[in-house]
Amino acid sequence: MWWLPAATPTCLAAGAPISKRVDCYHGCMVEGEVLVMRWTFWQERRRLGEAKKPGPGANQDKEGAGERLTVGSVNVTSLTDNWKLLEPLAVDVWLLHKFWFHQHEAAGLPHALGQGAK
Amino acid sequence: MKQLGFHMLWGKEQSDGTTLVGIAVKDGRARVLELPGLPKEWLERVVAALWTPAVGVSVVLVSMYGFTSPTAAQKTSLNHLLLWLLELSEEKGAVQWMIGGDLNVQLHELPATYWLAATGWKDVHDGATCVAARTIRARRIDAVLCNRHVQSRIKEVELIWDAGFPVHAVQLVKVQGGPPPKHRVWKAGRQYGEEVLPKKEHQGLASNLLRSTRSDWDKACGGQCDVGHH
Repeated sequence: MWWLPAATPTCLAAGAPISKRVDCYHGCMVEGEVLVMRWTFWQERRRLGEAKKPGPGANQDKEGAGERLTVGSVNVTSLTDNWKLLEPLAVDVWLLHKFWFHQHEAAGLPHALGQGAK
Repeated sequence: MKQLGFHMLWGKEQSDGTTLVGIAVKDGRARVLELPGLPKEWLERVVAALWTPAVGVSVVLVSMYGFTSPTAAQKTSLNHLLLWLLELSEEKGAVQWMIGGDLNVQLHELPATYWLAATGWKDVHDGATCVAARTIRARRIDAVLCNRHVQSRIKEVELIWDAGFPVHAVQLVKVQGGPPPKHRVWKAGRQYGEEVLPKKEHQGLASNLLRSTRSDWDKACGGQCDVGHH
């Protein structure tokens, strides 16, 4: 079972020595510092029989169920050479890796690609 | 092409005036997300953006390009980078994160993978993404990592090999826009129903798990292996 501390004590801060952090974590009290265990997390879960009964509005959140966004990830090598390959895929967002692109071309590219920076 | 309407977010310019990573956003709005503390060797290889689509809530997008044929030190550096991004994301609460990159390393070669798994991150697919002429076996060195807040929105993932790109496959992830997705919970009457997971049930969970995992890792190393903080 994982213990869930409510907040990071100072001895677990990024700058603290690892040994101190480990000591702090494996013991509940180090040098007078008390770790508050927030295991009430598990108790707050909704239990069997406590769920709301489905009513007339139960399906309201189905709005927007058909709205899809597409994120693409691709190694393009050259943005200017490969952009035409990306275009037919009709993706909302592209994460592009390894593309080479000269910054001095940036002034012209937004016009080539569309509306430019927002 | 003038009608495409993409907004480009560039990575840091290299000394030769070229850029290695970028994010192209068509739908909604996006701005570059500064990553204070990003290790120096990754400044030109990582770019992040906060994307707010026209439908749905904002997503942090990260594009990264790993070192080609990385040395042991560069693999270690990549490992640290992923841990650093992981901690950064968990500090932000229930924010959706997607990290797409050509890592030039398979995930199982990185210890950070276990930490990613322990905190609910997943790669969207397990198929190979890279086949070069001299490659004996296809490898998955391109990953699209999603934290648990975006996973429930993923509806479809596709690997495309015939888009025309050499060596690498294109990965497409279709995500659900609109309000937060529902989770199936057991309801009275012995049936499953759908409810939005209360925020209190996932607040801080991963960051706490991460601390536990870090603690176990440190303990296993006998306090000798500090990782992740840059």
